[in-house]
Amino acid sequence: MKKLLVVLVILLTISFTFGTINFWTAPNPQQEEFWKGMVEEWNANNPDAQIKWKVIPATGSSEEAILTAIASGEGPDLCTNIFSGFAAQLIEAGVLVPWNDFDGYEELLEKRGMVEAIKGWEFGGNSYVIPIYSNPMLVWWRSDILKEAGFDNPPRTYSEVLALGEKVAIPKERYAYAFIKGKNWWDRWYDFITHYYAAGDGAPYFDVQNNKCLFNKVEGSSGDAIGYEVANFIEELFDKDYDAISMIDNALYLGAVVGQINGPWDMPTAASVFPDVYPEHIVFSTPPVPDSYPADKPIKTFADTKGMVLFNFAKDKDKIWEFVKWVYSDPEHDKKWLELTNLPPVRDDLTTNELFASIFENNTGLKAYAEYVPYAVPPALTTFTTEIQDLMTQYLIEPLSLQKETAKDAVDRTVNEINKELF
Amino acid sequence: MKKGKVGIWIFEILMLGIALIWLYPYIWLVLSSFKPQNEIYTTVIPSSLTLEHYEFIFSSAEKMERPFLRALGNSMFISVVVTFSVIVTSAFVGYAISKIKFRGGRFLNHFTIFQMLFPGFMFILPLYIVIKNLGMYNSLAGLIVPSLFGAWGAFMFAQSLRALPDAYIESARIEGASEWKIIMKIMFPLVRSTASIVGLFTFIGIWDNFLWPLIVIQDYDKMPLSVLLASFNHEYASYIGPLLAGSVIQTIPMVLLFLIFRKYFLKGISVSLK
Amino acid sequence: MKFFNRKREEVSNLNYSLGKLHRKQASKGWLLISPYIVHQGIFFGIPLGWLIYLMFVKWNYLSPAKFYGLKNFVNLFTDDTFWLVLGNTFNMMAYFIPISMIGAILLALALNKLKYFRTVVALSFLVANVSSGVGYSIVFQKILAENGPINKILYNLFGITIPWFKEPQLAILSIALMISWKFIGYYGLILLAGIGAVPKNLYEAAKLDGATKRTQFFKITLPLINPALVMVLVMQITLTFGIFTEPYMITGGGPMKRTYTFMMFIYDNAFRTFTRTGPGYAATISVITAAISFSCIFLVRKIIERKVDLT
Repeated sequence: MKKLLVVLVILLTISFTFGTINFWTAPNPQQEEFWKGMVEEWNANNPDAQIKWKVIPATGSSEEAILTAIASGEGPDLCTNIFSGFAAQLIEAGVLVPWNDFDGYEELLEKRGMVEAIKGWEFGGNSYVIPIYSNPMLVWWRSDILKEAGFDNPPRTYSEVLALGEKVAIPKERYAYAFIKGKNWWDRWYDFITHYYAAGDGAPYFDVQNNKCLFNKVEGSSGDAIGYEVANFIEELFDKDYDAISMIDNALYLGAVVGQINGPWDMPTAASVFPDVYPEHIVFSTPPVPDSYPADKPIKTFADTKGMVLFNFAKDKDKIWEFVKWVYSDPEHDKKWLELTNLPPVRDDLTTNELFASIFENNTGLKAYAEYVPYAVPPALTTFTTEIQDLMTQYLIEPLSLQKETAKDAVDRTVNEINKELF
Repeated sequence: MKKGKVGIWIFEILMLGIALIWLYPYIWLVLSSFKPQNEIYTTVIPSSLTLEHYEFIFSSAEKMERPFLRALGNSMFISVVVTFSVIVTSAFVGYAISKIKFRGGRFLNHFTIFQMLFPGFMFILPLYIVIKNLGMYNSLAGLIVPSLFGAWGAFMFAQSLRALPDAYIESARIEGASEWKIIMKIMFPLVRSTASIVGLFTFIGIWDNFLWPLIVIQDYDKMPLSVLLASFNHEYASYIGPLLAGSVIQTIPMVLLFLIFRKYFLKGISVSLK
Repeated sequence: MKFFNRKREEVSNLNYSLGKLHRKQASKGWLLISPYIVHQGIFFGIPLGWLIYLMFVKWNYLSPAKFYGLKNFVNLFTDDTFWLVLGNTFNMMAYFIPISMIGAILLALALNKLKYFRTVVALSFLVANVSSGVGYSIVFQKILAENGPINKILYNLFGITIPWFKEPQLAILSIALMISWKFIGYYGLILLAGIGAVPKNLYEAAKLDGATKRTQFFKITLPLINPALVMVLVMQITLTFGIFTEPYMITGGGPMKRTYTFMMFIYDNAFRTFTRTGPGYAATISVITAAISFSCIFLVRKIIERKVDLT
């Protein structure tokens, strides 16, 4: 009996590791489909540089999973889904390799049309991240409910959202606008920061050089600090019961809320789970802005943008570079990416290249998102992203949604707490 | 007298009602997992029952690199191996502690009690470092090997073996039976219920463990059900139906085992009181 | 069989002394326990060593550890989060212990009285105890959702809904209720075993003296099931310090970090923010948490435990 156990244990301990390059990609069904195909194709043609592909094993956040893996010495060689602040943290820990040292780097930038885009990703003159996609965040509105309420166009300003609320909100049953995205730190990108960029024409909310908050300082169109403008809006939404702290699952599709910030990644899911709502009854708009925001001025929004990094414990760096070059020098690959994931690839010819035209024609949602790419602003490039946004959750979003503090107090407290934490 | 009888029945029915309320989360879970997606929150009694969520979990989720069938197999494998091992090894150690008179036995007796004093959470981090250094990180071995022996099991066996008269063993020894034979043929059958208790609680503990595999396992195809289900909840929260179907699948083995071995479960509770 | 016979001859040898038997016994004993000792050496002894070592270093798994003296402790006691988590834990206990204790006592008394449905009721309560942590967290998250069935019922009956996991105190209460749901059956059965051990003639004597049911409960039952009560209390305290799955799955520690537990605190410092704090800090939290948990148990025993003689 014991012998059997011993044999079992030994068998188990032998870990089976085939392939030489460990490549991790985002835990997202559509992206998984894309990379699965790409890796299969690459492996079939490159027997000497086999890639072992895996989805980032995220039970919490991707960052958490990657960090745990690095700590265990089992991290990936090449990894996608890295946001700029996390990349900065990895650079600080000294585990990344810059891409610009490889042969043909400039050439690749030209080919994919990301010479300009890459500038926003440089750290100390080096480029450690190859941007993959850049998503503007947009509001999805239920067009059928808007029409019923007499709205031909989605609300543009805070007052218009509140006016909509007066018409459509039914206590405990239907809310006007889901401002709050969720409880996680990354949700702050998609609610507070997204609305902040809209209200402030893309003004920065954080001073990366001095590690200081700016959202209580930079003035918006009303003359008040932009942070106060946005916080006032949140306060009013909850005051009037136009937003709820615990929105139900799939509230938008079930008609329990009329408008909500979403990313393009929500399109494939919506189409597959709620085909009777999406795309027929959905219209897109930029996030609402203060009433004082100039009517003719375009509205900015948040850019959710992720890239690819190379870790310094990778053995076959040149082979990996070959793979990366192969993926990103062929526009057909970006076309396939766009089709599968609906996430706009980072390239300056996105709306002009004939190759992509057919995709946009058949997908109005995607077209809307692609049009806003130039108006999308990436997050502050700080290594303290998680800390800052955890504190925003704790001291700004939650007190406001629980109506425990006034807008001004909540903003001031948050700023204090962040500045204290980063001291 | 009659009034008292009515009172008794009212009380019995009332308690039955409360018991039913207690089962409500289970009832809701199972019922909802068979409801069409858009009826999960809207109806109490569904218009029709569907197996689509289960099909999704076992086919589509499989394609999305969320291998539920594989995870079910992993959980089964891990739990069965550990349970089996803990029963056997605990029986031996418990026997040595309680029935063989030697210094090691007395020492170990104190040691098992000493070990049980430490709350499990204290050891999560250092145990992770040990597993990492042994090269068992991200392998099923990392989930199995640290649990192959258990202080609690040894303690339980020692307790119940102590209650058996030594005469059995003495006579067997004089008969010339080997220690192995004494344990397997004489002692073990007499403490079968202890074995069931130890086995049942070990199985439940391992099957339900979440934090440890969350830390140790990284590949989707090595994850036990608990962690895979949590990761599914994280990425596919809007697929409520399949999520509930997954929860049913994760819950059922424990409930079944509990119902089959309920007698020992109750016994286990009263034994632990001593 | 042959082997067996040879042994028998050996035993019948008159020279076989008792001392030899004992020595042989001892070596057999050591043989039996040696795998266990080796295993525990690796998976209990070494980790214990690591734990002690880690408390005094700063490390990030990647570069070599640095001696850190007592700074981990100083940092911990000046860390706002530590005090917040400590407060959260006592807050949780303030709900969980009374709710599940009173529930368990009532259940035990009811089960003791039930004649016909005793097994059915007991099993219904116990089956909650074998629900899987991840599975039941998902279920309660959905049941208690804004548009979930419980809120629907409340709305239809009273016109209110309760934001179960969204308001700090309510979120703590909700998690306490979930865990109570899971454990009341288990604790109730422990108490029932205690009640079963109380001699019946005590009640009869009390009845003759004209004691009411109430007095019987407070004067006889409660004092005599003291060991069971203490045991349940100790279990409750240990459990509260180890809560992880429920808040990790449902609230992520919020709202306002009020459901953030010691386990999450350890986990985050060990694996999430280790580039800044690291395993040294996490080990320090583990040890301090265990110490606090021990002190609570010690205190409870000191205050509540009574020697009970049931004969």
